[in-house]
Amino acid sequence: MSDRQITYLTDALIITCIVQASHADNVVKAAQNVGAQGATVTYARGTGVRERMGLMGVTIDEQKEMVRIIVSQEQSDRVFEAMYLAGELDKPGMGIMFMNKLDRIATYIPDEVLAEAAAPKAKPKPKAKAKAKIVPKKRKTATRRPAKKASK
Amino acid sequence: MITEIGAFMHKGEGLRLMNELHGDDKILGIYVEAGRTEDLFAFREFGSASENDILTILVEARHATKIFDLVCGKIGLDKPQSGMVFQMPLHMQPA
Repeated sequence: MSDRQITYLTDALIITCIVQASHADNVVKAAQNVGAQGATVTYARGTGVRERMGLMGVTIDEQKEMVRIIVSQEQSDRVFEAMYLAGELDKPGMGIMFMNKLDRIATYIPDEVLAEAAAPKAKPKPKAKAKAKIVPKKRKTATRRPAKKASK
Repeated sequence: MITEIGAFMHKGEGLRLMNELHGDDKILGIYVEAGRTEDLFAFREFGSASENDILTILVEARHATKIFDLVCGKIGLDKPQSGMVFQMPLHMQPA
């Protein structure tokens, strides 16, 4: 790794969402619709809520899917909310989700993107203030026409 | 303080890396999961997804940078579509 450089990205969060098996695709789709790039899904087995729900617990799948999505700070709340609603986590036994702040991320970044990020940004030219011109609007006057007499 | 280092990588890489790193004294714990991903790799095996491994490593914060860079190098992050490595703090120490 001596001749290679690692670029660390910051201001990112990881959203973890645990839902019943086969519900993950809906959650991922909802996240993608609001700007998430994609997700990683793993299988898991859950316990706890099924036992607490008594007879109703049999309706809850023991098999779970765990969705992990890494998002930027700006889009985190939007993605979190979309996933929550898509997974129907407001209903009992449907699942749980949480968000963790990441210290750093590393992934492949194309050289062009790195060069662009490193280059100093050109200052935008200040726009000349346009003088506000008040143009009086012509008033439209409605004229009433006399109603035509109905011919017999 | 304990830190978690996570890595998404190609299928099979996780087990290989775990076998390589589990003897390292700085590593407190290392785990591998298998999953599917939608955005990491261009090739698709199952509809819109492809298989991947998720590696989780627990290390002390003072060793985190070294292990993080080591994992980055082992995965080969200088090539496109090789995966992603991330680090997050843990607030509870393992027993």
